[in-house]
Amino acid sequence: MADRELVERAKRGDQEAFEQLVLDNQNRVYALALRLVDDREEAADLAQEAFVKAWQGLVSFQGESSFSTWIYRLTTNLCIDYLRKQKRREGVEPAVSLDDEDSGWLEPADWEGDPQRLLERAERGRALAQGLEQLSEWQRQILVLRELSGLSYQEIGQTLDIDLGTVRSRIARARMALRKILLEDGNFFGYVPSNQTKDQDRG
Amino acid sequence: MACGRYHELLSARLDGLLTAEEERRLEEHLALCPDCRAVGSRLAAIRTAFDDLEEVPAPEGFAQGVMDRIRRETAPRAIPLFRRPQVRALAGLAACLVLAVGLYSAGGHGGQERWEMAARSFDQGASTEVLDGVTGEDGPRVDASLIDPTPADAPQIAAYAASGAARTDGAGGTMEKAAPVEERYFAGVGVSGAEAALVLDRLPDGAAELIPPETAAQPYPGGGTVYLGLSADVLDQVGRLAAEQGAVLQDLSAGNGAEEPLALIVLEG
Repeated sequence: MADRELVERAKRGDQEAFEQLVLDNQNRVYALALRLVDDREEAADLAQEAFVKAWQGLVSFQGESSFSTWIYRLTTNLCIDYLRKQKRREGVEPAVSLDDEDSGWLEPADWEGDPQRLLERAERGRALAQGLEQLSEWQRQILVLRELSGLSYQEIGQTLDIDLGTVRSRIARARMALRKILLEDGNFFGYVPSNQTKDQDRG
Repeated sequence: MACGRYHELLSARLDGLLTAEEERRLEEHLALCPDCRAVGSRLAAIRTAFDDLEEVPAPEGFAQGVMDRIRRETAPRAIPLFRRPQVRALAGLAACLVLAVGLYSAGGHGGQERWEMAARSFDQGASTEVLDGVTGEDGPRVDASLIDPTPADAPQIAAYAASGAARTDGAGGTMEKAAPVEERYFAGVGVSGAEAALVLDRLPDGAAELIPPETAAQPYPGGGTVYLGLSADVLDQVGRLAAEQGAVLQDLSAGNGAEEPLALIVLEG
């Protein structure tokens, strides 16, 4: 059943329809939470909470974005709140709250047919996941906020309480670190399509 | 070649954030530097791969867990929500809190049961609110449309609201999700004869002097201390200190028309 229809039914109180939405999105939502807070139990808790909030807020969900986008944003917000609370306990004041605008959001990929391509993409996806795990916590968090949660530099700056210049340089450093890890891994860049440049990249 | 600064430009370019001048400088450099060209294409490949980032399977029972929580929330019952075996419960509160600590610390005789029974007799009323100790924080974290339009109808774990949303007790401000793993948000812990409470995560500086020496203090289950029989004045002053120092976890004393005697609960850790 199409996403849109599930949402419509869930809005009218159909819990089974909502449960299907949960099942459809749970892995990606959980993965997002896990990559942000780095704690399985907490991630599960936050991810579930996000869905509960989505249920509670369904009545006003207009559908300008997809349900997936929306639940992703809810999850991000909850995770950020959690991370701030963690920081607060260590004595660091939380940053200004996030702007709620949807911005720069990367829609999750639609699977486009060709099995060979799908396989390559899946392999790269797995290599990327492993590479992310090897990053330091701040590197992973900032990349996840940018690439998965789709936050703008400004929103990231507000979240982490750093200025734009710092956001920019940290994201660059995180990307370079990830690139280095993936180069060493060997599985990732082996799949770079041949129409891309074959220049030497000496790291 | 020292290409570090160009790496940053390449990264910013992925996000479309180069100025015209930076773009120009980068292009000039790329024309001469195959290394950087390769870095650029590899960064782009990483960006693309995020679309295919491997999912992590949600733990077993995840969806079931979500639906259970939803059902608990939408069913109008007086039974509070026990999120942990250690009995950290949240329930909708009216002005009136029912006694629990007194029973619990009566010790031994089916303390757990009595706790549950006492908790069950809570009135349903306004949602439990958790006020952020940092006042003046503004800006919505989540769309204001996520506020449940009828908060009084059902127990809620925590309403998520934008700042400035009018609350029935007149307290505005950002609200937070309550009761993550080790936080001790709770509701409905009352003390024999006391109504309403102020819950803090520590005793603020200067508060100890405000509490009269003869004040009865009891241990709070889960770690902490309950001060009983405080006057509204004292509670108010302590509350103000706590707010200044960001120690407030829950303020159920304000605007409820609560009558003395009142309780102050200071949690541990």
